[in-house]
Amino acid sequence: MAFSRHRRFGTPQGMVFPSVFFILIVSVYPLVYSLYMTLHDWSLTNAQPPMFVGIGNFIALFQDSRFWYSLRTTVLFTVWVVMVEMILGMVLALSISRNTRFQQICRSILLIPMMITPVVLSLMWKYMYNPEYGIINYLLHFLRIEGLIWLGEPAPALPAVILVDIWQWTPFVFLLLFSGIASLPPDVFEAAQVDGASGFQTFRYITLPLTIPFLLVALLIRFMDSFRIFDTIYVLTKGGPANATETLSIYTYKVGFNYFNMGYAATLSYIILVIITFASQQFVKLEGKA
Amino acid sequence: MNTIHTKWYLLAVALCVFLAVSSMVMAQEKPVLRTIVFQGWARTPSLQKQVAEYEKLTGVKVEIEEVPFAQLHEKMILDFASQGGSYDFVAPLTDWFTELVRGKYIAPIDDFIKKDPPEEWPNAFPPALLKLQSKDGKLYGLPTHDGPIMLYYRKDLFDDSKEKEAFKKQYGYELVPPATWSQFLDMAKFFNRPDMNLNGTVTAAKQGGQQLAYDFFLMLWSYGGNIFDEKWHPIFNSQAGIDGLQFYVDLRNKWGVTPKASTTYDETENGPIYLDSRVALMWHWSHIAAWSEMEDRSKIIGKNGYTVFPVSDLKISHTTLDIYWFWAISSASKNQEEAYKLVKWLCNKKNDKEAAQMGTIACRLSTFKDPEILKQFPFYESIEKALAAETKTTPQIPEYAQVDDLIGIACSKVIAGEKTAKEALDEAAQQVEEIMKKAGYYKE
Repeated sequence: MAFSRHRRFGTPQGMVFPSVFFILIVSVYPLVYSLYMTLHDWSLTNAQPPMFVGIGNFIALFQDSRFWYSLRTTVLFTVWVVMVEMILGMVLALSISRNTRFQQICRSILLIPMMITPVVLSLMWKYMYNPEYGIINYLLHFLRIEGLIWLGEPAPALPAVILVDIWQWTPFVFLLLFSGIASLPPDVFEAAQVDGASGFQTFRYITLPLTIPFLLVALLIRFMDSFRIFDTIYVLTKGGPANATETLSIYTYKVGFNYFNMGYAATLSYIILVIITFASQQFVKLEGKA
Repeated sequence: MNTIHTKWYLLAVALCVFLAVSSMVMAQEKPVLRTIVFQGWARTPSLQKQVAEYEKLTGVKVEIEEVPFAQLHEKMILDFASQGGSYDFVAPLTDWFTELVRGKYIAPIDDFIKKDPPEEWPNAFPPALLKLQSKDGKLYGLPTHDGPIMLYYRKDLFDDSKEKEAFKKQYGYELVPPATWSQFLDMAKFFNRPDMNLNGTVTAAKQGGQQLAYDFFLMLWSYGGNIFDEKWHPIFNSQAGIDGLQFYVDLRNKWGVTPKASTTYDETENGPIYLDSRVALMWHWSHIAAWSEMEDRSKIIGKNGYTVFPVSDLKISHTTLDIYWFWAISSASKNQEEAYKLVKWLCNKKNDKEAAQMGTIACRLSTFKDPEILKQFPFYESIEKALAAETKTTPQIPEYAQVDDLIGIACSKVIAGEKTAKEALDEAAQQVEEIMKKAGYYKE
């Protein structure tokens, strides 16, 4: 009977073959092919086949001041976004963690930004940031504060795109931390209450240590997402003004799809991949310890 | 048994007949021709109307895909490079011509023209509008929407006797359309009245937009400079480039005659501000002159004046930037002949004139001289003259997209006050030199 079942459904290897084949086609092949591309110089606007250049693209990349500048911008963006989202997410999770009707409504409203497509959301913010008819400068005018050219000058441009990302993804961090806090054992908090611990002491010595694994998961996911930020910046500024918002992904996109230099674009993508993989591994190690 | 065999036999014969007939029907079916244009293109409204007529006339189906301007170049090249075959004919900008030819993505149309020439060929179009899509004696397309840049001013303001008197009193000379940049600045300062919702001028200085690098080239030429020398070494960081860029930046940062928000405008945004009667004088593509006379687009009908692009010194001859859109046929198209017939039809006398009436800048000499057109859009007389005189264009090299981007970044850095004009242009020139070196321009 067992033999005939094997005959009907195939061996275990045969059963996983379709999945493995699918992963090979959609994931492993592009990865290997783009690694091959990093060793070649290939312009899409040139009818010539790719030309082998060895590690030439990597050498060029380390000498490319624009790469270093966009890396700096990406790190700045990621640090600010992740830090503020973590703090705000925790504050929100603690503030509206009870099951009152009001807090339930607040939680539902908070999730709305996360559900909007980033491109649509960025377009909404683009209109709000408009220096002439955007609502932000309009409200500032009421407070007798002079409005800014939010996306047209380098100083406010990066904070402006950071704010959009924070607005959209803080609810995600909140959701993770809220579910983490809700899953904590209530007896520990009851014991602390009986022992007369203050609200801050309960947070410092019970809530925070117990939610660290959830914080690390949120940190890992938000780090990976924000480091490869593209859509929001593409819609809002396309990397300008004065290159103030040109992150690594935006630069890679320009090299690949504006200059059509596919070898160099593949090299840039690989660097992003290496950075994200390395940093993620550190987070995972920390998570294991926690 | 025999009956069963006969049934199968008859079924097989019927199936063969059905397949043969359906394949014949399919073979007789008219092809579907596909193209891609950008949203907001001045030619789109007339194109849609004319394509609908063409479909009725011939039975050929035409599909037009519209994408944002920033994605047009990218989508076109990616589809061609991946041999996606999504487009039978395209409307590229002349800036992209060398890329398309080097990649062998568009086909020469000389053989089609020989067999079936456009109306009034070879004297249908000014030579200037056939030059930029020609290479090695081969023609790769027909022009469809032209755009030399001109200087526009509000005739009603310039002709107002009170304004004339006040200007003469303040600046000591007559208020007439400016021929030099110093006159332009005087006039922009004179008319800059933010409390009355009137700006002296309005620029389009957004990094990543289409216009910023073009504006730099215009400034550079009008100060007597050039982009490259004859051996393709960048020379735009010359004193002419530095002075031209500084003048451009000062319009916003020092004199405040263009809105601070101009760093968020591209050419699709600053043109409508002029048409909305909020600007005294500005430079822009020619379609703004046409749009200024159209009721659905303009609040300044009959009030738009136009003149040549200013220069820094009258010893330098006036010039302008001319780039244009042209219809080209995809090398990968299986319907090249049908695509050519459509392109030829879109560029015929009737359609060229109709496109002009709907806001496009026409390309045919017959349209330039058409009394009806000249009555509605008198500036066509100057377009013909401008095209006959010296016009300049962007560097016709496949590396242009990179050069354009680097110059845009340099200009944006100067506007932001992060670098001086000299520092930013020197840096950009060095980067362009590297690109040209890598591309093999200096093998001597």
